[in-house]
Amino acid sequence: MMEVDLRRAGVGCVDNPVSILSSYLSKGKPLRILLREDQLSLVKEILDTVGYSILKEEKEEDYIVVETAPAENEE
Amino acid sequence: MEVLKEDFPLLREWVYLDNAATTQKPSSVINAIKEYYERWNANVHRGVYPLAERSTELYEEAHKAVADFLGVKQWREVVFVRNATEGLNLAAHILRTFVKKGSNIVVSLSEHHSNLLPWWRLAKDMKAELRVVDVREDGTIPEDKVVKHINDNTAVVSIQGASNVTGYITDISPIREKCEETGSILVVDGAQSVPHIRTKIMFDAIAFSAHKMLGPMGMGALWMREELLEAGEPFLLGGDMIREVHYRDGIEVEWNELPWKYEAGTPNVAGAVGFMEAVKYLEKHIDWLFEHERSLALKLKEELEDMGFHVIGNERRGGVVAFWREDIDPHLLALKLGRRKICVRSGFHCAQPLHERLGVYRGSVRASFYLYNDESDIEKLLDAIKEMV
Repeated sequence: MMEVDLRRAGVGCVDNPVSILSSYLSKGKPLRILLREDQLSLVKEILDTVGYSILKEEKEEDYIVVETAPAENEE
Repeated sequence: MEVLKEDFPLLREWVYLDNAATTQKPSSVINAIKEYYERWNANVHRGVYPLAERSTELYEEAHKAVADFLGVKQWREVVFVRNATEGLNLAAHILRTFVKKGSNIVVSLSEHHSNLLPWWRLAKDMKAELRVVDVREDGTIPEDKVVKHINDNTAVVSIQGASNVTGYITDISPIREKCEETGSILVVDGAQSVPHIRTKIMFDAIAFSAHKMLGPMGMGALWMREELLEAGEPFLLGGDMIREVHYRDGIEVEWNELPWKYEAGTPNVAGAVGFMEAVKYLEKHIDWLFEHERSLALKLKEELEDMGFHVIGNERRGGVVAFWREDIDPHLLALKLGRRKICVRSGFHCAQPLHERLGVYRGSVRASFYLYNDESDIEKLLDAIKEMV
Protein backbone atom coordinates (compact mmCIF):
# COMPACT_ATOMS: atom_id res chain seq x y z
CA MET A 1 0.00 0.00 0.00
CA MET A 2 1.37 3.40 -0.92
CA GLU A 3 1.96 5.79 1.96
CA VAL A 4 1.69 9.56 2.06
CA ASP A 5 2.72 11.74 4.97
CA LEU A 6 0.62 14.89 5.36
CA ARG A 7 2.01 15.95 8.72
CA ARG A 8 4.20 18.66 7.22
CA ALA A 9 1.68 19.82 4.63
CA GLY A 10 1.29 23.58 4.37
CA VAL A 11 -1.07 26.08 2.78
CA GLY A 12 0.81 26.69 -0.46
CA CYS A 13 -0.52 25.91 -3.91
CA VAL A 14 1.26 22.57 -4.13
CA ASP A 15 1.93 21.55 -0.53
CA ASN A 16 -1.60 21.72 0.88
CA PRO A 17 -3.34 18.45 1.89
CA VAL A 18 -5.92 18.60 -0.92
CA SER A 19 -3.36 18.98 -3.68
CA ILE A 20 -1.03 16.36 -2.22
CA LEU A 21 -3.79 13.83 -1.65
CA SER A 22 -5.62 14.34 -4.93
CA SER A 23 -2.50 13.44 -6.89
CA TYR A 24 -2.31 10.10 -5.02
CA LEU A 25 -6.04 9.45 -5.01
CA SER A 26 -6.34 9.93 -8.76
CA LYS A 27 -4.38 6.67 -9.13
CA GLY A 28 -7.38 4.79 -7.73
CA LYS A 29 -5.29 2.60 -5.42
CA PRO A 30 -5.38 1.96 -1.66
CA LEU A 31 -3.44 4.49 0.35
CA ARG A 32 -2.03 4.81 3.86
CA ILE A 33 -2.09 8.40 5.13
CA LEU A 34 -0.18 9.81 8.07
CA LEU A 35 -1.72 13.02 9.34
CA ARG A 36 -2.08 15.42 12.22
CA GLU A 37 -5.21 15.37 14.32
CA ASP A 38 -6.28 18.82 13.09
CA GLN A 39 -6.21 17.52 9.51
CA LEU A 40 -8.57 14.61 10.11
CA SER A 41 -11.91 16.23 9.24
CA LEU A 42 -10.46 17.76 6.05
CA VAL A 43 -8.94 14.45 5.00
CA LYS A 44 -12.23 12.65 5.62
CA GLU A 45 -14.03 15.19 3.47
CA ILE A 46 -11.48 14.81 0.67
CA LEU A 47 -11.82 11.03 0.75
CA ASP A 48 -15.59 11.28 0.71
CA THR A 49 -15.46 13.70 -2.23
CA VAL A 50 -13.36 11.40 -4.39
CA GLY A 51 -15.22 8.22 -3.40
CA TYR A 52 -12.71 6.59 -1.07
CA SER A 53 -13.71 4.64 2.03
CA ILE A 54 -11.80 4.53 5.27
CA LEU A 55 -10.64 0.98 6.01
CA LYS A 56 -8.78 1.72 9.21
CA GLU A 57 -8.18 4.73 11.46
CA GLU A 58 -5.55 4.47 14.19
CA LYS A 59 -4.23 6.99 16.62
CA GLU A 60 -0.50 6.86 17.19
CA GLU A 61 1.27 8.84 19.89
CA ASP A 62 1.20 12.21 18.15
CA TYR A 63 -0.38 11.51 14.78
CA ILE A 64 -3.13 9.51 13.07
CA VAL A 65 -2.91 6.77 10.46
CA VAL A 66 -5.76 6.34 8.00
CA GLU A 67 -5.91 3.50 5.52
CA THR A 68 -8.22 4.09 2.63
CA ALA A 69 -9.25 2.59 -0.69
CA PRO A 70 -11.68 3.36 -3.50
CA ALA A 71 -15.21 2.54 -2.32
CA GLU A 72 -15.74 -0.22 -4.88
CA ASN A 73 -12.60 -2.04 -3.64
CA GLU A 74 -13.91 -2.31 -0.15
CA GLU A 75 -14.10 -5.88 1.13
CA MET B 1 -21.76 31.96 -27.73
CA GLU B 2 -22.68 28.36 -28.54
CA VAL B 3 -21.09 28.86 -31.94
CA LEU B 4 -17.81 29.85 -30.30
CA LYS B 5 -17.90 26.89 -27.93
CA GLU B 6 -18.16 24.57 -30.92
CA ASP B 7 -14.70 25.71 -32.00
CA PHE B 8 -13.22 24.24 -28.80
CA PRO B 9 -13.44 20.45 -28.68
CA LEU B 10 -12.71 20.19 -24.97
CA LEU B 11 -15.62 22.42 -23.95
CA ARG B 12 -18.13 19.77 -25.02
CA GLU B 13 -17.45 18.03 -21.76
CA TRP B 14 -16.17 20.58 -19.25
CA VAL B 15 -17.24 23.87 -17.71
CA TYR B 16 -13.89 25.54 -18.02
CA LEU B 17 -13.33 28.55 -15.75
CA ASP B 18 -9.56 28.48 -15.31
CA ASN B 19 -8.65 30.74 -18.19
CA ALA B 20 -6.26 32.92 -16.21
CA ALA B 21 -4.12 29.78 -15.87
CA THR B 22 -4.46 28.63 -19.47
CA THR B 23 -7.11 28.82 -22.17
CA GLN B 24 -8.58 26.12 -24.36
CA LYS B 25 -7.44 25.84 -27.97
CA PRO B 26 -9.72 26.16 -30.97
CA SER B 27 -9.66 23.45 -33.62
CA SER B 28 -7.91 25.85 -36.02
CA VAL B 29 -4.90 26.12 -33.68
CA ILE B 30 -4.78 22.37 -33.07
CA ASN B 31 -5.01 21.69 -36.81
CA ALA B 32 -2.32 24.24 -37.68
CA ILE B 33 0.15 22.53 -35.34
CA LYS B 34 -0.79 19.10 -36.71
CA GLU B 35 -0.43 20.31 -40.27
CA TYR B 36 2.96 21.83 -39.56
CA TYR B 37 4.31 18.51 -38.30
CA GLU B 38 2.67 16.56 -41.12
CA ARG B 39 3.75 18.82 -43.97
CA TRP B 40 6.50 21.28 -43.07
CA ASN B 41 8.59 20.03 -40.19
CA ALA B 42 12.25 20.97 -40.64
CA ASN B 43 14.74 23.04 -38.70
CA VAL B 44 14.74 26.76 -39.41
CA HIS B 45 17.48 29.11 -40.61
CA ARG B 46 19.75 26.27 -41.67
CA GLY B 47 18.62 23.99 -44.47
CA VAL B 48 18.46 25.15 -48.08
CA TYR B 49 15.89 22.58 -49.15
CA PRO B 50 12.26 23.64 -49.67
CA LEU B 51 10.94 22.14 -46.45
CA ALA B 52 13.44 24.07 -44.35
CA GLU B 53 12.72 27.22 -46.32
CA ARG B 54 8.97 26.88 -45.73
CA SER B 55 9.52 26.16 -42.06
CA THR B 56 11.69 29.27 -41.75
CA GLU B 57 9.08 31.29 -43.59
CA LEU B 58 6.34 30.12 -41.24
CA TYR B 59 8.46 30.88 -38.19
CA GLU B 60 9.13 34.42 -39.41
CA GLU B 61 5.50 34.89 -40.40
CA ALA B 62 4.54 33.98 -36.85
CA HIS B 63 6.72 36.82 -35.50
CA LYS B 64 5.03 39.20 -37.95
CA ALA B 65 1.55 37.98 -36.96
CA VAL B 66 2.27 38.57 -33.27
CA ALA B 67 3.75 42.00 -34.04
CA ASP B 68 0.62 42.89 -36.04
CA PHE B 69 -1.63 41.71 -33.22
CA LEU B 70 0.27 43.92 -30.79
CA GLY B 71 0.23 46.82 -33.22
CA VAL B 72 4.01 47.18 -33.50
CA LYS B 73 5.69 47.90 -36.80
CA GLN B 74 8.99 46.11 -36.29
CA TRP B 75 8.62 42.37 -36.01
CA ARG B 76 12.33 42.13 -35.18
CA GLU B 77 11.36 43.56 -31.79
CA VAL B 78 9.29 40.45 -31.02
CA VAL B 79 11.37 37.78 -29.30
CA PHE B 80 9.77 34.36 -28.93
CA VAL B 81 10.16 32.81 -25.50
CA ARG B 82 8.50 29.91 -23.69
CA ASN B 83 6.02 32.00 -21.72
CA ALA B 84 5.51 35.34 -19.95
CA THR B 85 7.68 34.16 -17.07
CA GLU B 86 10.62 33.60 -19.37
CA GLY B 87 9.87 36.89 -21.11
CA LEU B 88 10.03 38.80 -17.83
CA ASN B 89 13.20 37.02 -16.76
CA LEU B 90 14.74 37.82 -20.13
CA ALA B 91 13.65 41.45 -19.82
CA ALA B 92 15.31 41.67 -16.41
CA HIS B 93 18.47 40.18 -17.88
CA ILE B 94 18.56 42.52 -20.86
CA LEU B 95 17.96 45.56 -18.66
CA ARG B 96 20.84 44.72 -16.28
CA THR B 97 22.93 47.14 -18.21
CA PHE B 98 20.64 50.01 -17.12
CA VAL B 99 20.55 49.15 -13.42
CA LYS B 100 23.42 50.48 -11.30
CA LYS B 101 24.29 50.53 -7.63
CA GLY B 102 22.07 53.16 -6.04
CA SER B 103 19.36 53.03 -8.66
CA ASN B 104 15.93 51.58 -7.94
CA ILE B 105 13.38 49.26 -9.53
CA VAL B 106 9.67 49.79 -8.89
CA VAL B 107 7.10 46.98 -8.78
CA SER B 108 3.83 46.51 -6.90
CA LEU B 109 2.77 44.04 -4.23
CA SER B 110 0.05 42.80 -6.56
CA GLU B 111 2.52 41.31 -9.02
CA HIS B 112 2.60 37.68 -10.04
CA HIS B 113 5.75 36.03 -8.68
CA SER B 114 7.07 36.10 -12.25
CA ASN B 115 7.03 39.89 -12.23
CA LEU B 116 8.40 40.17 -8.73
CA LEU B 117 11.25 37.69 -8.35
CA PRO B 118 13.29 38.53 -11.49
CA TRP B 119 13.39 42.18 -10.42
CA TRP B 120 14.14 41.27 -6.80
CA ARG B 121 17.14 39.25 -7.97
CA LEU B 122 18.30 41.93 -10.38
CA ALA B 123 18.15 44.56 -7.63
CA LYS B 124 20.06 42.26 -5.29
CA ASP B 125 22.72 41.48 -7.92
CA MET B 126 23.25 45.12 -8.84
CA LYS B 127 22.99 46.45 -5.27
CA ALA B 128 19.99 48.48 -6.34
CA GLU B 129 16.84 49.11 -4.34
CA LEU B 130 13.63 47.18 -5.00
CA ARG B 131 10.64 49.40 -4.28
CA VAL B 132 7.51 47.33 -3.74
CA VAL B 133 4.48 49.60 -3.83
CA ASP B 134 1.77 48.59 -1.38
CA VAL B 135 -1.72 47.86 -2.70
CA ARG B 136 -5.04 49.42 -1.77
CA GLU B 137 -7.08 47.68 0.90
CA ASP B 138 -8.95 45.80 -1.83
CA GLY B 139 -5.68 44.50 -3.32
CA THR B 140 -5.61 46.71 -6.40
CA ILE B 141 -2.69 48.81 -7.56
CA PRO B 142 -2.80 52.50 -6.57
CA GLU B 143 -1.30 54.10 -9.67
CA ASP B 144 -0.74 57.41 -7.84
CA LYS B 145 1.41 55.63 -5.27
CA VAL B 146 3.39 53.90 -8.01
CA VAL B 147 4.04 57.31 -9.55
CA LYS B 148 5.25 58.65 -6.19
CA HIS B 149 7.80 55.84 -5.93
CA ILE B 150 9.38 56.72 -9.28
CA ASN B 151 12.22 59.23 -9.23
CA ASP B 152 15.33 60.14 -11.20
CA ASN B 153 17.10 57.06 -9.82
CA THR B 154 14.41 54.70 -11.07
CA ALA B 155 15.96 52.49 -13.71
CA VAL B 156 12.97 50.23 -14.34
CA VAL B 157 9.28 50.12 -13.46
CA SER B 158 7.65 46.75 -14.04
CA ILE B 159 3.92 46.54 -13.55
CA GLN B 160 1.11 44.18 -14.45
CA GLY B 161 -1.32 45.12 -17.21
CA ALA B 162 -4.05 43.20 -15.38
CA SER B 163 -4.06 41.19 -12.17
CA ASN B 164 -4.63 37.44 -12.13
CA VAL B 165 -6.17 37.78 -8.66
CA THR B 166 -8.16 41.00 -8.51
CA GLY B 167 -8.73 41.25 -12.26
CA TYR B 168 -7.83 44.92 -11.87
CA ILE B 169 -6.78 46.69 -15.06
CA THR B 170 -3.83 48.94 -14.33
CA ASP B 171 -4.06 52.48 -15.65
CA ILE B 172 -0.65 52.64 -17.31
CA SER B 173 -0.94 56.26 -18.54
CA PRO B 174 0.13 58.15 -15.38
CA ILE B 175 2.96 55.66 -14.80
CA ARG B 176 4.17 56.10 -18.36
CA GLU B 177 4.08 59.89 -18.03
CA LYS B 178 6.22 59.74 -14.90
CA CYS B 179 8.64 57.28 -16.51
CA GLU B 180 9.04 59.62 -19.48
CA GLU B 181 9.80 62.46 -17.08
CA THR B 182 12.45 60.48 -15.17
CA GLY B 183 13.83 58.52 -18.11
CA SER B 184 12.85 55.20 -16.51
CA ILE B 185 12.18 52.06 -18.53
CA LEU B 186 8.61 50.81 -18.28
CA VAL B 187 7.98 47.05 -18.54
CA VAL B 188 4.48 45.55 -18.51
CA ASP B 189 3.57 42.03 -17.49
CA GLY B 190 0.98 41.44 -20.18
CA ALA B 191 0.12 37.85 -19.30
CA GLN B 192 -3.39 38.80 -18.16
CA SER B 193 -3.96 41.84 -20.35
CA VAL B 194 -2.76 41.01 -23.89
CA PRO B 195 -5.20 38.08 -24.26
CA HIS B 196 -8.18 40.20 -23.20
CA ILE B 197 -7.75 43.85 -24.15
CA ARG B 198 -6.46 45.46 -27.33
CA THR B 199 -2.89 46.41 -26.42
CA LYS B 200 -1.88 50.01 -26.85
CA ILE B 201 1.89 50.30 -26.91
CA MET B 202 2.76 52.99 -24.35
CA PHE B 203 5.70 51.30 -22.63
CA ASP B 204 9.12 49.90 -23.44
CA ALA B 205 8.52 46.18 -23.14
CA ILE B 206 5.73 43.68 -22.62
CA ALA B 207 5.79 39.93 -22.01
CA PHE B 208 2.94 37.48 -22.50
CA SER B 209 2.15 33.79 -23.03
CA ALA B 210 0.55 32.15 -26.06
CA HIS B 211 -1.24 29.53 -24.00
CA LYS B 212 -3.30 32.16 -22.19
CA MET B 213 -4.61 33.43 -25.54
CA LEU B 214 -5.75 30.27 -27.33
CA GLY B 215 -2.24 29.26 -28.40
CA PRO B 216 -0.08 26.34 -27.42
CA MET B 217 1.88 25.93 -24.21
CA GLY B 218 5.62 26.52 -24.33
CA MET B 219 5.24 29.67 -26.43
CA GLY B 220 5.23 33.32 -25.53
CA ALA B 221 6.71 36.62 -26.57
CA LEU B 222 8.70 39.51 -25.24
CA TRP B 223 8.26 42.71 -27.18
CA MET B 224 10.89 45.31 -26.36
CA ARG B 225 12.02 48.51 -28.03
CA GLU B 226 14.81 47.87 -30.51
CA GLU B 227 17.37 50.13 -28.84
CA LEU B 228 17.00 48.23 -25.57
CA LEU B 229 17.26 44.85 -27.29
CA GLU B 230 20.35 46.08 -29.10
CA ALA B 231 21.92 47.36 -25.87
CA GLY B 232 21.31 44.17 -23.90
CA GLU B 233 23.27 40.96 -23.73
CA PRO B 234 21.69 37.62 -24.65
CA PHE B 235 20.94 35.24 -21.82
CA LEU B 236 21.23 31.95 -23.73
CA LEU B 237 24.25 31.42 -25.96
CA GLY B 238 24.60 28.84 -28.70
CA GLY B 239 23.19 28.10 -32.11
CA ASP B 240 21.25 30.55 -34.25
CA MET B 241 21.88 33.55 -32.02
CA ILE B 242 25.34 34.28 -33.44
CA ARG B 243 26.37 35.72 -36.78
CA GLU B 244 29.97 34.48 -36.57
CA VAL B 245 32.22 32.77 -34.04
CA HIS B 246 36.00 32.57 -34.44
CA TYR B 247 38.76 31.12 -32.39
CA ARG B 248 41.93 33.13 -32.90
CA ASP B 249 43.63 34.39 -29.73
CA GLY B 250 40.46 33.36 -28.00
CA ILE B 251 36.73 33.25 -28.76
CA GLU B 252 35.48 36.11 -30.88
CA VAL B 253 31.75 36.33 -31.40
CA GLU B 254 29.29 38.57 -33.15
CA TRP B 255 25.63 38.29 -32.18
CA ASN B 256 22.98 37.64 -34.81
CA GLU B 257 20.47 40.33 -35.73
CA LEU B 258 17.20 40.81 -33.84
CA PRO B 259 15.21 38.91 -32.77
CA TRP B 260 17.46 35.86 -33.31
CA LYS B 261 20.08 37.28 -30.95
CA TYR B 262 17.73 36.28 -28.13
CA GLU B 263 16.45 33.00 -29.58
CA ALA B 264 19.28 30.54 -29.10
CA GLY B 265 18.96 26.95 -30.27
CA THR B 266 16.26 25.24 -32.28
CA PRO B 267 13.04 27.12 -31.59
CA ASN B 268 9.52 25.83 -31.02
CA VAL B 269 8.41 26.27 -34.64
CA ALA B 270 5.20 24.28 -34.30
CA GLY B 271 4.37 26.37 -31.24
CA ALA B 272 5.01 29.53 -33.23
CA VAL B 273 2.68 28.32 -35.98
CA GLY B 274 0.01 27.62 -33.36
CA PHE B 275 0.62 31.05 -31.82
CA MET B 276 0.14 32.67 -35.24
CA GLU B 277 -3.16 30.85 -35.73
CA ALA B 278 -4.25 31.85 -32.22
CA VAL B 279 -3.70 35.57 -32.82
CA LYS B 280 -5.52 35.31 -36.14
CA TYR B 281 -8.51 33.80 -34.32
CA LEU B 282 -8.29 36.29 -31.48
CA GLU B 283 -8.02 39.27 -33.80
CA LYS B 284 -11.66 38.66 -34.78
CA HIS B 285 -12.82 38.87 -31.16
CA ILE B 286 -10.42 41.06 -29.21
CA ASP B 287 -12.51 44.20 -29.45
CA TRP B 288 -15.62 42.79 -27.77
CA LEU B 289 -14.38 40.14 -25.42
CA PHE B 290 -13.23 42.34 -22.56
CA GLU B 291 -16.69 43.78 -21.96
CA HIS B 292 -18.17 40.31 -22.25
CA GLU B 293 -15.79 38.87 -19.64
CA ARG B 294 -16.21 41.87 -17.39
CA SER B 295 -19.99 41.56 -17.33
CA LEU B 296 -19.71 37.85 -16.45
CA ALA B 297 -17.25 38.68 -13.69
CA LEU B 298 -19.42 41.39 -12.18
CA LYS B 299 -22.46 39.11 -12.20
CA LEU B 300 -20.53 36.31 -10.50
CA LYS B 301 -19.04 38.73 -7.98
CA GLU B 302 -22.47 39.95 -6.94
CA GLU B 303 -23.89 36.44 -6.58
CA LEU B 304 -20.91 35.22 -4.55
CA GLU B 305 -21.07 38.21 -2.23
CA ASP B 306 -24.73 37.40 -1.61
CA MET B 307 -23.58 33.94 -0.52
CA GLY B 308 -21.19 35.42 2.03
CA PHE B 309 -17.99 35.09 0.03
CA HIS B 310 -15.34 37.80 -0.04
CA VAL B 311 -14.40 38.74 -3.59
CA ILE B 312 -10.92 40.20 -3.92
CA GLY B 313 -10.68 43.48 -5.82
CA ASN B 314 -13.23 46.07 -6.83
CA GLU B 315 -15.52 46.89 -9.76
CA ARG B 316 -12.68 47.83 -12.12
CA ARG B 317 -11.89 44.36 -13.34
CA GLY B 318 -11.64 42.00 -16.26
CA GLY B 319 -12.87 38.43 -16.25
CA VAL B 320 -11.19 37.25 -13.06
CA VAL B 321 -13.02 36.56 -9.80
CA ALA B 322 -11.02 35.31 -6.81
CA PHE B 323 -13.17 34.57 -3.77
CA TRP B 324 -12.93 33.05 -0.32
CA ARG B 325 -14.86 32.43 2.85
CA GLU B 326 -13.44 31.83 6.30
CA ASP B 327 -15.22 28.50 6.79
CA ILE B 328 -14.32 26.98 3.43
CA ASP B 329 -11.06 25.37 2.37
CA PRO B 330 -10.44 26.76 -1.15
CA HIS B 331 -8.69 23.63 -2.36
CA LEU B 332 -11.47 21.38 -1.12
CA LEU B 333 -14.09 23.52 -2.85
CA ALA B 334 -12.09 23.39 -6.09
CA LEU B 335 -11.73 19.63 -5.74
CA LYS B 336 -15.48 19.22 -5.28
CA LEU B 337 -16.22 21.42 -8.27
CA GLY B 338 -13.73 19.43 -10.30
CA ARG B 339 -15.69 16.24 -9.59
CA ARG B 340 -18.61 17.97 -11.28
CA LYS B 341 -16.48 18.83 -14.28
CA ILE B 342 -16.26 22.48 -13.31
CA CYS B 343 -12.68 23.70 -13.54
CA VAL B 344 -11.56 26.50 -11.22
CA ARG B 345 -8.23 27.20 -9.55
CA SER B 346 -7.44 27.34 -5.85
CA GLY B 347 -4.49 28.68 -3.91
CA PHE B 348 -2.50 31.88 -4.13
CA HIS B 349 -2.37 32.01 -7.93
CA CYS B 350 1.36 32.78 -7.79
CA ALA B 351 0.61 35.96 -5.86
CA GLN B 352 1.21 34.86 -2.29
CA PRO B 353 2.45 38.23 -0.97
CA LEU B 354 -0.78 39.83 -2.18
CA HIS B 355 -2.95 37.22 -0.45
CA GLU B 356 -0.97 37.58 2.77
CA ARG B 357 -1.26 41.36 2.60
CA LEU B 358 -5.04 40.95 2.38
CA GLY B 359 -5.11 38.46 5.26
CA VAL B 360 -6.13 35.58 2.99
CA TYR B 361 -3.77 33.00 4.42
CA ARG B 362 -5.31 29.83 2.99
CA GLY B 363 -5.66 31.13 -0.55
CA SER B 364 -8.72 31.75 -2.66
CA VAL B 365 -10.79 30.05 -5.33
CA ARG B 366 -10.56 31.72 -8.72
CA ALA B 367 -12.98 31.58 -11.62
CA SER B 368 -11.72 33.28 -14.77
CA PHE B 369 -13.50 33.76 -18.07
CA TYR B 370 -12.66 33.88 -21.72
CA LEU B 371 -14.47 34.47 -24.96
CA TYR B 372 -16.27 31.10 -25.00
CA ASN B 373 -17.77 31.37 -21.50
CA ASP B 374 -21.32 32.51 -20.98
CA GLU B 375 -23.96 32.90 -18.29
CA SER B 376 -24.76 29.18 -18.35
CA ASP B 377 -21.23 28.53 -17.00
CA ILE B 378 -21.85 30.92 -14.11
CA GLU B 379 -25.17 29.26 -13.35
CA LYS B 380 -23.56 25.82 -13.23
CA LEU B 381 -20.80 27.10 -10.98
CA LEU B 382 -23.21 28.85 -8.62
CA ASP B 383 -25.62 25.90 -8.48
CA ALA B 384 -22.76 23.60 -7.55
CA ILE B 385 -21.43 25.96 -4.88
CA LYS B 386 -24.91 26.43 -3.40
CA GLU B 387 -25.29 22.69 -3.03
CA MET B 388 -21.94 22.38 -1.31
CA VAL B 389 -21.83 25.24 1.17
